[in-house]
Amino acid sequence: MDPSIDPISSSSQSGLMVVDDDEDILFTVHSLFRKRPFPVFLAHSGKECLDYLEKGFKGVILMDIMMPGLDGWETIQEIVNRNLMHDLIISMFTAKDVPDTSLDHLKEYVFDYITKPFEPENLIALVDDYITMLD
Amino acid sequence: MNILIIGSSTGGPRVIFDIFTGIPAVPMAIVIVQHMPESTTSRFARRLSQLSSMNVIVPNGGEVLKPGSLFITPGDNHLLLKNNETIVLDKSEKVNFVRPSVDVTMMSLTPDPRNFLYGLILSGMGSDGAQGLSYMKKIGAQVFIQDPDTCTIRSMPEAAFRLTDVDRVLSPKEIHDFIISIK
Repeated sequence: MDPSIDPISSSSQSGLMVVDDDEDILFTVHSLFRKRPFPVFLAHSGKECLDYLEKGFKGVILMDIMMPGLDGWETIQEIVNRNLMHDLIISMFTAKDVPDTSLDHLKEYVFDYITKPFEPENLIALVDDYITMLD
Repeated sequence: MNILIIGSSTGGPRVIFDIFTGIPAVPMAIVIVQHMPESTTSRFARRLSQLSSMNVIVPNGGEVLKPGSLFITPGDNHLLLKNNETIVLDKSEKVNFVRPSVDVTMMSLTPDPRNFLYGLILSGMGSDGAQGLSYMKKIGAQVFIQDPDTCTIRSMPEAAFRLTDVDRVLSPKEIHDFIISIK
């Protein structure tokens, strides 16, 4: 069962979006944040992430890199191309901790780099901090 | 006047928040060059103003550096310092794929015995800041990098380390203590 989703139109507050093709990761992160006072959105692909953004999502995005279809970097490039970067903080969310230098042109759009596996307490603190920054 | 230029990219904001938490208004002008979109700048600045007692300013251009002030370079602008004191914003071509570029700010400084210059490179992708830190060292600045072992992304401080005989390699706590120690 898809554990999401708060309707975007119901809230103008900042939320959290997790973009990952791994259902276990989506489920785990949703479980961690389900009681936080902000909406949580789960996107299974770059395309789904872009759909949420087109519908008005703002907030923190945890972006996996290796995904079928648009990968994380291609999704960020598309976010930039569509001028959807406003009111966003994007952190890569990945097992790969050394970015490809060919992606230097996108670094100014990536605020942070969170590696999996992650410490739940640290992830909650970091996301809370970034959400606070946006609100 | 004491002037510190901090260059930072991916993974840097959380370090900057740690560094400036509880920092009083020290007798130093600090300029942060953080790679980030323009829309994030004011929020980043507001967060820093909540964490420290420095006077946090997002410049429009023309401001003069003052001790106790923390200037946040606006996204999509290069920041240069004219005569080491007046802020000039510039939307010229990206340097090292970014605007603002750390190199641009650091290399706008000039040797001046009235100033004590400091340069610092934090976590980040790529090599922006490496040339700038090397230049600052040549004109008499003390230059530091964040300890790569404490970085989310170690490329930027490592690139600076390869190019420059840095004065110190510092953990975030040591950077915090250094800033507080400025008299």
